[in-house]
Amino acid sequence: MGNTVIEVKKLEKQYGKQKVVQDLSFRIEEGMICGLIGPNGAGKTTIMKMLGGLVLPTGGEMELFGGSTEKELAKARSRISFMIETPYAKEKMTARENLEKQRIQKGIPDKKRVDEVLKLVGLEHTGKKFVKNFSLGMRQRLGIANALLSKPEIMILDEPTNGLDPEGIVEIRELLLKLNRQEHITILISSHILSELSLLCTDYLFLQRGRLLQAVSEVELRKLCKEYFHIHTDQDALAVTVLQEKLGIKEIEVEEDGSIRLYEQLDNIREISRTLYEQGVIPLELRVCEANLEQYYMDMAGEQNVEHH
Amino acid sequence: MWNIIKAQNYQIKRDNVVWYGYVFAFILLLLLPFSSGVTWKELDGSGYAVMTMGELTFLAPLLTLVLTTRICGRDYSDKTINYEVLAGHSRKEIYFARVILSLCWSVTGIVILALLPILVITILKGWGHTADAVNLSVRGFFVLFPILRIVCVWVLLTFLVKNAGKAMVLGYMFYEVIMVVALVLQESFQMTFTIQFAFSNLAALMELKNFMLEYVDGSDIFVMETALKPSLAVQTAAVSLVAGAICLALGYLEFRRSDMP
Repeated sequence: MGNTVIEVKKLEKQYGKQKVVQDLSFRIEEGMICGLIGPNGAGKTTIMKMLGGLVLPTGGEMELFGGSTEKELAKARSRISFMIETPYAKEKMTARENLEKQRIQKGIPDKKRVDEVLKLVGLEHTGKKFVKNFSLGMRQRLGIANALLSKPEIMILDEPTNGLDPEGIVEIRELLLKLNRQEHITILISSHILSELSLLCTDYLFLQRGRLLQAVSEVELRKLCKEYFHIHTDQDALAVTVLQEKLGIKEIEVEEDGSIRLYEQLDNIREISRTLYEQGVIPLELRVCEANLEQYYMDMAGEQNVEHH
Repeated sequence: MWNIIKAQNYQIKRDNVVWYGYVFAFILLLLLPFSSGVTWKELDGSGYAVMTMGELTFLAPLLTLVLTTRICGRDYSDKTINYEVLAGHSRKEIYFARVILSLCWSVTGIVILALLPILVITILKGWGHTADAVNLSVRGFFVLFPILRIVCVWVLLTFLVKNAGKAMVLGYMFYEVIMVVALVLQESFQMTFTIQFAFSNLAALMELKNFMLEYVDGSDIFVMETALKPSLAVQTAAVSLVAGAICLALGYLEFRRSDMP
């Protein structure tokens, strides 16, 4: 990862008395594929709209490529592509005409770029078909094509696979991965389908009711979501030594309260219990834990609900 | 801003409603003289010009309303404006690109609609004696000022309402209400509002009322008084520019500080 390309500090958006985004701070670095995760109403689209300049923040600061003034932000946005909510399209124009218009509007001199992106998203054979006759999936593809038109450095995508069939979802995912790895495009992508994001993202921002619950990398999250033994004994420090020396367990973590997490030999629970007991360590708690991304988010959101109440 | 103008032009040229509007207005203006009983034999360039000028008083505000609301309002509902903001264009560029386009398409359209038939008929039948060509041209030039002002009113209305259809309906209602109010004030209180209202200003410039009868080439013809009072011309230009600028400024302030739908 490299330089910071997007940074927000205590960003806020209030409508009347309701704060839809509050005290939001995060940073996105060059090269990340960052997933913005949260249920409907969490503030994902509002955050993207604020980054895009469609919605004006009521508090906080925002920087894009290091610039924070109105002029600098507008200039920075020319290096970013957005696809927010329903993709843009003129209904009584063809896909090619829509993209040609966008090409002119964005000041892209290369006329062949329209054909390139149409081919990239699989819409090159739509011919004279008007967008009003497109399926939802085709409109999503057109929106992605529009986002790719200017060869951006960052893509900000609001549920880009919405409405796509499973094959289309895979294609878009692979396209985004390719763009990130080969073109070094940074991606901020929102979704409430966590399983899809888990195949794509390098980092995650978990949101609930306009607040950031947690910012975590994919590596950290895998650790948190990995299946493990949770062990609590009467002599946790000795238990760690026993497990390492007697059973050769290397992937072991000690939590703040002293309890132990084992990430290996998960099918060897009998041997683990027996060995601990023989060494004079009494297991008080021994259970298998597993959290996928959805469960992890639900648990975290649930804890936060309790805290806030 | 230039890229937005080019892109919008690309779009407008493919908008059937715009072309239907122009064609409809053109046909209406072309056939109008004949609806009042004038025959082709009697028609000449100046006669046609005088007859259609009065009709343009009615057509010009409505044609500009359709054009302006299409250019400024339709792009709200399908998020064209949103994507211009997202592409990094400033709100000032987006707003004034649309203002320029609305003014250009409106003025160009009306000039062509007015001039083309006059030129064709003049070439075929000659200018005639009904009106002085130079004076009419001067009036035609000053007519552009209230038209510019009216376009600015439609721009303000469209950016306040943020919807082409609603702006068109409200604009038409506004036009009718203003006409009625001006008429009531004029008839009931003997108050004249030649330049205060853009529509009455337009009418004052385009509707020729005074005439005299002249005997030319063996027949009696009406000769319209076409000379324009300098005070009317100057006031028209000044009030139109100031009122237009105020409307544009208000429209921009509203656009600048509002969240996009």
